[in-house]
Amino acid sequence: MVSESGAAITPDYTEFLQELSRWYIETIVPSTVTHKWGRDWCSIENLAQDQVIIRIGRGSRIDTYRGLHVRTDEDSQSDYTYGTSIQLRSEKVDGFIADLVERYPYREFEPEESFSVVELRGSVAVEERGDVQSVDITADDVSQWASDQLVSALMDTKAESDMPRLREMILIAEDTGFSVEESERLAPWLLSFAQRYRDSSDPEDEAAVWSAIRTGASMLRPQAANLLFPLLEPGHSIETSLVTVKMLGRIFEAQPPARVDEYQGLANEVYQMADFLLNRYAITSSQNAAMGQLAIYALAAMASSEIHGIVKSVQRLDIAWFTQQTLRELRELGNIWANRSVAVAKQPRKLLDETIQMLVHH
Amino acid sequence: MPAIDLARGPKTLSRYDVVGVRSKSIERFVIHVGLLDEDKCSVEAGGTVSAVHMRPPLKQGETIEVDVAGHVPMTNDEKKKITAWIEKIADEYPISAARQYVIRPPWKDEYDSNTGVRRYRRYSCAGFVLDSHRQVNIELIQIDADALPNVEQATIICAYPNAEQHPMRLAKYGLEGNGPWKVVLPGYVLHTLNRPTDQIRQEPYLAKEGDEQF
Repeated sequence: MVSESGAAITPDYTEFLQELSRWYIETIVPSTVTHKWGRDWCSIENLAQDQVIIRIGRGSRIDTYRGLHVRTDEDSQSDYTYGTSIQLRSEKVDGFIADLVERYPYREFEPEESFSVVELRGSVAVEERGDVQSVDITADDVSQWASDQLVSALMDTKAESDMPRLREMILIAEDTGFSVEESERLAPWLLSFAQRYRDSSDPEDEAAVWSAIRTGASMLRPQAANLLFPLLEPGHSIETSLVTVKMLGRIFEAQPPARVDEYQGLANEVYQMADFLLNRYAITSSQNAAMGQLAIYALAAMASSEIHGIVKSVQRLDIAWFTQQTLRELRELGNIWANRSVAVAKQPRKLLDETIQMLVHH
Repeated sequence: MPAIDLARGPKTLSRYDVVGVRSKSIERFVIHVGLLDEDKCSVEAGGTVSAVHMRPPLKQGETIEVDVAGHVPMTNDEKKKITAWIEKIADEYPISAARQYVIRPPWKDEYDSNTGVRRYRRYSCAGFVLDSHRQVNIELIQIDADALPNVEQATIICAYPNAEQHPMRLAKYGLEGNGPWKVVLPGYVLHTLNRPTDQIRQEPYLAKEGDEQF
């Protein structure tokens, strides 16, 4: 291996980088992770399309290396399918790199390699995969579990004692197919988790909360959609409300109501949200605008007659881009309904068409 | 501004212009595209910009080095629509997970198997750029399988260097077998933008063999 400048790298240094890369590609780490030992540090940064930059800092000196990931465990989904393993493995990252540093001390680095860019591509040979066992994650790999095993583990009363593990399981559940019976048990638990952790001060909980809402809500039949009520309560993170109202729209988009105002309680809650957001001050925020549009979509999908009042509010706002985008999304809902194998009931469809016409003629 | 090679000189770019990254080893091969995530800025080849792009995860405000760029001029209202759209989907990509990625088709919805309710949408980097433009009624490329050129495995390997050793991974991204496949490659996005604005807005580009390079 040579640097871009053509200078040879000392064998030990090469071996260190190879091993670091080889390990790195075996697992998933956050987009950028930094590990510190006193004044020294090593950062690994993911780039697009499987590229990686490794920077090693020793005092004022920084060495930069650029390489390409060549993940090696093709039989296991665990290394790349689920980013949820990130937190679980962070401690192993530290331990592994510390071990490497001990074995390949920095004092062997050649000063002339500072700021060199080394192409690691090709040096991470696939045939070496059998030797790479530094982080054995497959034995306890949640992503390989059967759905019933995952349900049991998630709903275990002791699950919350290991939050990194729990967060990982929640994210994996989003890509797992569950039976109807399992979904009926799991959905309330996932939504309850989201409710309990939506105000968590730990930023690592955020992704799990959003995923729990998406997965839990996606399992619901319309009759059970009121399980989302608590997650619509104001006074909590706006992102949580945004995900919830988005999923409400998706529940009814896929499972349209049989008649208008069939879900009035839920519609009232969403109406209040939309009504609060549809003013010129609130809409200035793109997040509020997004949530307002999602609330309109949900009202239309659940065939609430409140939609007409809300559309009048949109007309009064007279913000062209907002109206156009709302119209576009309602037309998309119309297309989704039109392409269903089972026709949507006449009255909900009529209400949607009327709503679209109101916006068209604005 | 047609699509440009930034090596010809610095260019001023605007929010949601398309920025692209070329392969370091294959001449003019575009390996990644995203959207500029900052207001007017002057950029030159190899310069860094803030981007919103599907890596995965969907990253907003991340600094990337760019080599090529292109755009269809957008109004402020169109930019607001894209901003609101990103707000709506951002929760689906909070952390890195390859499950968020797909190569063929350029985007794909994932559903609950019992209810049919959508959970999230997977994207390729090009798919994300295409879908962002769809929010403002611009269909950049004809993505029907019949309209796309065949892409051989060797070309896929140029874009995804580890593909050769990992056919199972490719299968998970929608590329089963040995190809060729109908795939939207990042370079196509630059070619569609390398047309008159009216044409870009009126008709999606019909990608052809060789468009992976720009």
